[in-house]
Amino acid sequence: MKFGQTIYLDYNATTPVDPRVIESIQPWFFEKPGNAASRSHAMGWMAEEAVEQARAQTAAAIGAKPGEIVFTSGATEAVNLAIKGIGARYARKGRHFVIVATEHQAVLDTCTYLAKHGFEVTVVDVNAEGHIDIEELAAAIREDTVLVSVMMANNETGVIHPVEKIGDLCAERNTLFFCDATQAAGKVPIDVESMGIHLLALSAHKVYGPKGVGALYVRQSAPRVQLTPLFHGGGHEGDMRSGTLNVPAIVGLGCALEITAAERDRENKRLAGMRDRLEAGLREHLEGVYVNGDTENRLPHVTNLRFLHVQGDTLMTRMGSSVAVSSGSACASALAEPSHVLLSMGLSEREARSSIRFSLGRFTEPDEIEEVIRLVVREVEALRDVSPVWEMYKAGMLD
Amino acid sequence: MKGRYSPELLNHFHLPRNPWDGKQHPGLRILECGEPEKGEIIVLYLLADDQRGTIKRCWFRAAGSVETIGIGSWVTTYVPGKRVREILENLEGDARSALGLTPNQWRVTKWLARLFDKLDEEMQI
Repeated sequence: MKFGQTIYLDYNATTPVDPRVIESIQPWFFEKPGNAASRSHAMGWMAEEAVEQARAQTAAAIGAKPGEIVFTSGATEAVNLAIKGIGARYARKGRHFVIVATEHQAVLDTCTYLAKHGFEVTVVDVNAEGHIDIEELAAAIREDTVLVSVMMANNETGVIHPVEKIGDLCAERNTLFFCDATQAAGKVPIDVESMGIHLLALSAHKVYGPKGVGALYVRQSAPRVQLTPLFHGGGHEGDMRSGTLNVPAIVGLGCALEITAAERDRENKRLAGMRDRLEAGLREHLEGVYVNGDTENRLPHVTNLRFLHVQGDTLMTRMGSSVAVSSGSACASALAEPSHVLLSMGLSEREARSSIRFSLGRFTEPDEIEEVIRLVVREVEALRDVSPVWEMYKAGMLD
Repeated sequence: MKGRYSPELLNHFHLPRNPWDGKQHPGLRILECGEPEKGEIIVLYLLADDQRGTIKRCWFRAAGSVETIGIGSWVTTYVPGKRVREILENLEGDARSALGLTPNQWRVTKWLARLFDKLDEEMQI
């Protein structure tokens, strides 16, 4: 399905809200205006009931209990609440965190903040496929480590980390395990109990829900995890997140997660088929197209492709408004910063800059993939036609 | 991409003028500039009138960013008929005005200014 003139293949950045989710949200804007914290009238009770239903839906999506879900404004807040909340609450036990080099900026920046405030952070590297070495992770954990943070699936490559093994390791070493599941939620089965996860962050807008809402799972038994809140003012959400609840968005999150869970297996198969066709089609017609990251253990809807001697940003500009994809890079400096994820995997700056993330989703159709293949092939060829670098490569003067 | 690139720059980027077709010409000069380690290169293929110190024809090849390719194309339309000294004096300002370049993109015109500086030295000899 085209959005205007654009084929949208940037579902890892955000997803359109599913019309079924929109339908579930709509009454909560006008017809049902109650505040979920209002105890004195039926409007408030109805809103509270809707929030509790969404809490149960969210908990069911990750194998948690409803009382273990804290609603937030999104994954970034959930990440901040988890990391800063643990840092403040467990500072007497220790002030050391372990994270992975390919974590999302929300985790990296929050840990950088803590490092400036008396905490220590050890960053574990990944290999060329984007995977961590469990032994290296184990070696990084110390007596004073209070939290290990490893994302479930990477947002740029889709590479899935061995969460169960990390959970076992953290239990063995008596440290808490925080998992950012923002990209994995709705795409892979999640069971926080069997995976040994103590804290987990997710966001609605990655699963066809609205922007501005997410959740943090906080384990309440074996062990009971405690957090120092970021916000104060009313003691909402079990005193972990004060502030009037965003009822429409929370209802949307619950609904989106329920739909995604019900359709996941069939949808994953469909998406993996189209993703594989995209990779095969491009590699069939173009020389020098490489997949970044492990091609086996990854999310079904994403591929991160490197186009030899073509800059990703340049290729995206050639495609103009025809296709929406992402280079996974910030655009603040003279040249866009290369992806820290790809650099961590050992790619050179130049190789990282030559990469583009294609992420497919619920509204992607097979004929769109064929059109994207045609467009990308045409534009890569046009760029290589005027490229002295490509000429040198073809003459055997460059790798 | 609105905001990052002007329509004039995008026009040259999407419809590059005078891409070099590989044809050799007597007296063809080949000059290169950019940051090759970052994959940013402009190669200019120039025919000059050494007696008058002017450029007769110019073709290009370029790789890298949008601005590198776009400015590489523009410069092939800018230099013919001009004296190298005149190019040196006006190129950066004219490119910025004609293509609406942002300060981030000025690095490319600086490479080109150095390239023409080198050409000027060559032509003096």
